[in-house]
Amino acid sequence: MEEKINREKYKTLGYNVLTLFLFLAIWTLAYWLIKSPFFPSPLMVFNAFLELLIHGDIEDVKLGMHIQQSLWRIFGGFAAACILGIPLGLLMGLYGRVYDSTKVLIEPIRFIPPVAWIPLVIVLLVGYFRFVFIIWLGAFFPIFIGTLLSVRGVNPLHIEVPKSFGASRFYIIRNIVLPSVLPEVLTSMRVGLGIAWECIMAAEMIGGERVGIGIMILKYAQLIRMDAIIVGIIVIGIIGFGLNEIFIFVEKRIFRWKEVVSI
Amino acid sequence: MKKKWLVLMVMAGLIVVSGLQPAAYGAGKNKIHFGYLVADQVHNFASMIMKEKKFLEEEGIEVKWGEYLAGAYLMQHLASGEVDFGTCGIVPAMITRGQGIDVVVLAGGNTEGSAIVVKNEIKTPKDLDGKSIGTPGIGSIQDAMVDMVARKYNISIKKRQMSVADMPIFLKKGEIDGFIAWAPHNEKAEQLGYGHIILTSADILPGHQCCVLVAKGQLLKEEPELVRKVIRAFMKAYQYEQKHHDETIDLVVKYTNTPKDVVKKAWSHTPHPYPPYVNVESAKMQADGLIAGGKIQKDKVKDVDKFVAEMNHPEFLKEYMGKSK
Amino acid sequence: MGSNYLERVKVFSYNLISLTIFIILWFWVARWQASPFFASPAEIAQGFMQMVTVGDEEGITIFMHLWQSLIRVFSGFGAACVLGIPGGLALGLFPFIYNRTRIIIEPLRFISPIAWIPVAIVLLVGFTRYVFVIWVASFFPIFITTLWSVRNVNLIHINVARVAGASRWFVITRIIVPATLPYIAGGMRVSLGISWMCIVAAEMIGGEMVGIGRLILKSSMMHRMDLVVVGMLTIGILGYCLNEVFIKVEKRIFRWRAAVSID
Repeated sequence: MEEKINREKYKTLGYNVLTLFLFLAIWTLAYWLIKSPFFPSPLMVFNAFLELLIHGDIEDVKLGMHIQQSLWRIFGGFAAACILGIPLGLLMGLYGRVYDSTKVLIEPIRFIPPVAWIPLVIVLLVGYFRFVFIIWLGAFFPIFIGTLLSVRGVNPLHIEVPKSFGASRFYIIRNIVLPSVLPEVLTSMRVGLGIAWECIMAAEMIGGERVGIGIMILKYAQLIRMDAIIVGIIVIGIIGFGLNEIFIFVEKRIFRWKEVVSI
Repeated sequence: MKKKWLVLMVMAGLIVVSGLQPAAYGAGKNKIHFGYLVADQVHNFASMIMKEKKFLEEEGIEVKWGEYLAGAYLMQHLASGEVDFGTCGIVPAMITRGQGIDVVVLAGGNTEGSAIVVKNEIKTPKDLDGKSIGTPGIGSIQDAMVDMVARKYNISIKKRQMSVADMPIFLKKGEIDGFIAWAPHNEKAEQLGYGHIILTSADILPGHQCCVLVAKGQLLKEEPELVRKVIRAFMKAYQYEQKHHDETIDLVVKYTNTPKDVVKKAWSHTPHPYPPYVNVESAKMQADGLIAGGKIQKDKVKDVDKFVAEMNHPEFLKEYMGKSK
Repeated sequence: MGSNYLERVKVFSYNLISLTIFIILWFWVARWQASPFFASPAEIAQGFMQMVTVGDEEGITIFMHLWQSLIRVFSGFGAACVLGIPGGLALGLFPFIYNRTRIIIEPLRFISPIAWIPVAIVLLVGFTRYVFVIWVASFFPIFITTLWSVRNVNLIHINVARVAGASRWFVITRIIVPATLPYIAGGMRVSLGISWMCIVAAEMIGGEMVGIGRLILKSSMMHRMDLVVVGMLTIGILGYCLNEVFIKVEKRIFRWRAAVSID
């Protein structure tokens, strides 16, 4: 059995590598067919990648620095979203009235895109906090709403039974609500992290900084250097993917007893 | 139930297909797409007047106007084939040509017209050493001018790219020590009391070319008549400004949302030579600067003189000036 | 019935109170900032009136901006549905395809639409750019939800039909599709919200005068903070309304199923 699963794993991996090569082959073919100065070949993109990695960009900032700076910003925004989103979600899930009474504010704000906040953020905040705020905006709502819904979704039976035995409210929250919502809270954290990472471009449109993967893309967009732009896009995609995979791995480890961890 | 979804999907599909018609603009048939920059009318008043007074329509051209946040974005759209003509800085145009895109310059716009605004503590250009200066983007003429200042005074300046509109706010909050922008943003910040102008672009590179009228290169050969018409409308706008200066200023006030006295001051910093031939010497110096700064790759432009000569096509303007005499 | 009515009035008035508090707070922030780059509620109301009656300095009213943006959003969203639902169904039915191409599909999910803009500008033309950028954002929620809903169809239902001699086609059309419809509808709603939130990003593509995102970007360039906020609020409120309408429709269609929730 074990062996069979392993074999299946290697097979999938092999096919994935094959797909990747196929993709690169089609890309190269498209490059030959299109022959436009804006359509770089995979090789050109790889060269640009090496150049950015080793020598740095036009202002001598290395790719590693860009990534590090962006991750640091994401971390700030994501942490703020967790710190505010989870307790608020728990609170509003437990006391439905609070959410219902402020719905008129919360719901429309959810639909205002982070990019649209930039002009206001520039006026109201300073430096690092601007980035944190924009990313927080993106990540907060999935975490908040996810937590809120998971609290509402706790099986009422699990709450009513101890209640009838005289359990205190605090006991119920700590021993019944919290453990049962934890897996879903983690899932919404993961979704929030993905969205936070997607917001990095929006946040780095703020300007005033030289380092950041989004800023790098914007710089090269101004110089119409497609190869470097595509390097940036691929790096964003791979890092987002990596973060998500790590999170899934952690979730699966913690909640081995619960088989609901999904993409 | 299933039918409903099918109908929904077919409808969605139809919407998409109906949307997939590419912009039907492009040279030929006297239809053009003309690009200009937002809040840049002190420099490129000509496109504003052509738009307001419908000078292109008078020439029998059907025009679609497009506005862009910076020259680099306009250039991306020109490179993609969507924009046929436009007014923007010569530096984004050179950077784009450096990437192998056939963009040509038909006429000049203003010269100079940028300035470095710094907080009040900074008194001389030498004090800029180690300071941070906001620029409107790495592909802008202003960014290149900061490089020139740094070389001229042998100092190092940290550049911070941001939107011109945000520069006064960054300056007020002390996040940057100064910024360089196109008129009227410098004068606006000065008027608000956030800083003072320390260097104008007249100090940095006197008489340098700033904005230009650009076009897709293929139009010169394929549609010379169209190019002649655009030049005629462009020159009409210049002549209109000479006759109705006050009205032009009022239009700039409207287009840039700037007080009139600030616009007037900005205008006095922004020469508009007539006839608007491109200052070729300054263009070469700027190209040298771009290559030195790595913004144009060395291996793509080997001979700067040839590069600028191939890019600059004043023959249509010359023809027009010859006729009008 | 009576108490239900009372409850509604109560919730409504609480919402009104939180709205008032919010406006007063905004007013104080404006007083405290006293900056030409921040607008007070009164200025915003004035700006809104201006946008409704005269329009911006080009004479384009807010309705024209909204209409143009809605066309863009619904085209992108339509494209996402047309590709995402069949794609999700297909890859859900044949999971090995997904598993073997994961290496390409997954990183793409995490690339923010804004990062695609430089590529979209150069490689596409006109209206297709907007469709592409919005499609990039809204495709994955629909696609992934559909894919997962297919995988989660109760196996017993399928096997029972199979045992009774049902053809593959029958199983797909009569069991899998109906079972996944509620999830697909949920995925579509999430996607619609995301498409709408993408409008500012999409309209960073230059060259057009009309569009609600354009209004925000342009007004911020011209230091008209009141119009920026008007644009933001319009996006927020309209996004909220779209979501609510969608929920209503979902609830009507899937009355037999009570799992429709707010996110």
